[in-house]
Amino acid sequence: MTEDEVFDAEEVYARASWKKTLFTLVLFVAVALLAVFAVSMGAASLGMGECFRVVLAEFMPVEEVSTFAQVVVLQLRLPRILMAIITGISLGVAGAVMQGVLRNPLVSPYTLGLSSGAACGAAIAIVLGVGLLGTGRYIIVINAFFFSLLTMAVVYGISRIKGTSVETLILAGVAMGYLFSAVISLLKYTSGHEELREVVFWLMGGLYTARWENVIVLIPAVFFLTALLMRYSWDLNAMSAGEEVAVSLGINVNRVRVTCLTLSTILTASVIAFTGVIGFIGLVSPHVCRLLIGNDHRYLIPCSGLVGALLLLVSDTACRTMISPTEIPVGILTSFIGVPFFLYLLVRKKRRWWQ
Amino acid sequence: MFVCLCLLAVLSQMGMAAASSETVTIVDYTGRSVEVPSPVETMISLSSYASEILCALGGVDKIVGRDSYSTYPPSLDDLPIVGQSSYSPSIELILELDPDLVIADTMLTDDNREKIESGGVPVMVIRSGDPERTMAIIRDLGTVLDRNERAEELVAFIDRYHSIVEERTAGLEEEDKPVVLGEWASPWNAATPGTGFGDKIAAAGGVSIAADETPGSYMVVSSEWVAERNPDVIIFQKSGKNHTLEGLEETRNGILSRSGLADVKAVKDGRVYVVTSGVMGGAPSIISDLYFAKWFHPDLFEDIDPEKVHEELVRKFFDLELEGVYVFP
Amino acid sequence: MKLTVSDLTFGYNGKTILDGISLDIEKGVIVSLVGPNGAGKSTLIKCIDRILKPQKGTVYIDGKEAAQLSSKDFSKTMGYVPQSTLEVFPYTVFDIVLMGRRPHIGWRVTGNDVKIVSRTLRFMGIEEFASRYFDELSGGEKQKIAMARALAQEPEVLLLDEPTSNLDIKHQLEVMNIVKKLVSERKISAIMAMHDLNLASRFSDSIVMLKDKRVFKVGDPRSILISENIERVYGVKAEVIKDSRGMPYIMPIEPV
Repeated sequence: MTEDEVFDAEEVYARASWKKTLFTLVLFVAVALLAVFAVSMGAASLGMGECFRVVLAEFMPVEEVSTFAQVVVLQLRLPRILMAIITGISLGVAGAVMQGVLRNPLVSPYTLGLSSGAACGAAIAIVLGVGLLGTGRYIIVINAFFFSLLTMAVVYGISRIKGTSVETLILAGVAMGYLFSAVISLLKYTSGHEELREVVFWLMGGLYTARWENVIVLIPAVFFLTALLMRYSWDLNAMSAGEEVAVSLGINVNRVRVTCLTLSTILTASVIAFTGVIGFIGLVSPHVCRLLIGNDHRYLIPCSGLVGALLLLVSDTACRTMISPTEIPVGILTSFIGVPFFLYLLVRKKRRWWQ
Repeated sequence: MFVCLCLLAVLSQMGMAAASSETVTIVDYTGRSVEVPSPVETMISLSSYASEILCALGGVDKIVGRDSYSTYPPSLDDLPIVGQSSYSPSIELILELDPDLVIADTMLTDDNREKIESGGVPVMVIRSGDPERTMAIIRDLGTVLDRNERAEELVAFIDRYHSIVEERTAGLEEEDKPVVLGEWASPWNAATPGTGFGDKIAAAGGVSIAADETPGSYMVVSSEWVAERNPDVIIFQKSGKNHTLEGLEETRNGILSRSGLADVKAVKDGRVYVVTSGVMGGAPSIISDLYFAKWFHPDLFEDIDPEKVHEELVRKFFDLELEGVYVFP
Repeated sequence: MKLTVSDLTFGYNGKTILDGISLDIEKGVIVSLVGPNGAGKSTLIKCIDRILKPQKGTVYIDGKEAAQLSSKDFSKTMGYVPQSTLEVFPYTVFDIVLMGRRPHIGWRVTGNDVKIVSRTLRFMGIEEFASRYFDELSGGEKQKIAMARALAQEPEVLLLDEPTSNLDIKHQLEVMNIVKKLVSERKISAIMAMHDLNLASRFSDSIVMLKDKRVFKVGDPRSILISENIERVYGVKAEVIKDSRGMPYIMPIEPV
């Protein structure tokens, strides 16, 4: 082979890696820019400049900003934008990990019954007023969180008895989803007028309850859990070849599965406990990323999170500004966007990912 | 980056100085003491009942924003909508209008209340649909508007008819009280005592069909249950606005022909009535009280014509002619 | 590196598949496991590779119990090539072979890892496919990629589960030649579960015949692949002739 005929696989790989890193950075910048833009969007007519001055005023002396602008930007919009980003990241990351662990591109926090579990917990708290812990509004949050974990525990318990195959896990998850839906329907049927409304709103998902005290706790939690999950990137890569190959590559498949599912459950539960059921982000974000950068989990996990953040931030900003002053619950919009997009992916798919 | 966010959070918690001027303290339905500037110059109403009463007290000029359900009286139409209802207000719009006071009903979440208050705007919560409290609400709003005299006039008007009903039904024996099935919004959705509807039935000298059940909410009942208790009167409360005569008649016919009710006394006697939410709460709630009383004990209330009373109310306090239908027949 | 299997027994759901299998495999040899369907060839391979856990018996590597090794160390010793490869998600060829470095990688992929993958691809003759997506390729190419992945582990033993069953004759020969080259150049051992007796005959140093859950016979192809053995193990009357190099060539005649 002559010099120019030599096919340098190393160089090809280096270039591909660089492309993926670049993509991740671009996404990160996109999210940041969108956040900045979203700060100036809202029902109140505040100019972009004024919004920036409000934020700047917190760090350095700047010309007078009205209390009104301060309240709107700092108390109403900013926590909500951050909540959208954090929730989007959680759902995107959890979706990517779950799809990788279960080797199934149709899996999402929703399919495994986690969302239904959380919704059931919340409904119990809202309608019956009973909760596991906490007082006031936190009863709903804590209930939702624990019911999510409970769902995962049951699903996993079932699979331990029947054998930890992927099909068992998914089927158990679907079954639990149906069970919880039935319980929720029962609660809705027997609830009073006001509680019913609240349950319905919870089921549609919304970010309008975002508060600083929640955001401040969630940000480090989400980053911490994401970092933990990213450590399993290589194991997830290897697991895609099937259990046998994974074992032969030295991976403790069972342990990786349990750990990753537990961590992604906690990740999902933490956010949907506050926001209610927001569908499709966890399903669609990993697919979008796969189309563009393939399945290397070292890049897929963070990118899926960032795409989730982008999708949710766009949706939420649209929700609160499209038909002001009425607000559409964000879960509705993500479904409306998600479904056609998903169908488009199905139709267009050039790579047959599942035989 | 994380440190910056923390700083932001901390700094933004530091409150803003409240404007100090003459204020009056009102204890609202949630038991909170609300400091309201006196007199109020601008306010936002997220409750259609409050809006109605405010207008009756002559305060329509001071309202700068409303919810989408506040459509009576028509003078409210041109006001900007700042939220669908108390459940989903647009905090940004409310704060932008910077009113002296926001009045909402119990559907306002604690979260949203805090957000509005942190913007320096006091919030007063009322419980609509509760006839007992209607007087108190009228008086409170009178204080807010500094129109106490007018408020007393309204209270007196309502009280007058209220006393009539009370006196005439005071001496009734239990057997003389008709058993009433009150349905709200959908078939078989029965009102128990403790709900506004249920209490109205009792106040008008009737006995709610669900008197023995857990009070306080609406329960869905079966046709056998109703047949067993054989109510003497059925009243159906229809929600929504802008009802037509034909629409109400259709609803009534629907009840008369509803399967499972054919053998019930109320249907056989034709004592089936449709009432709309327009007269079930707020200032005109006394009108439905009168209708109920007349339907339950026509002999005791022969001299009362609820429609005329309604006309008088509307003319005196809203400066309007009575329009639309509110009950059938 | 010497691999010893001692008294291995495996079964599930009350059914025994392997009953007291014992084998010795020296360094630098190609061993073929042959036998009819269900004889336990694949099962034995998986038991050796710790994919399946035998109920009884031990595997020794250089005299030490293989079960004592950590999974990472073990996978640096043994590489596994499955019968068929199914990738659910899109990966490039390079990425897939890179996964073979998993036992050696902490978090970062080092330049060394990339070099080894690159070299392995070149060795297998598939370097040009490096940036192609896996599912765009043919069965033969996929099999080579799976082998490259196992090789990237830098194992001392290569386990192949029916490596030629789904390939056309050209790819069959290519794959077998690569195995031969590997064994002679890198002195690794190869244990293959083989379906095709003739390929086994041509390329193996030693044949292990499995029948009735046990080892029926072990030896070099010339002494083992005779018509009596084939009749006993496969239940088929066969004619064994010698090919141009003197290796047995089996022609099945009729079932017994």
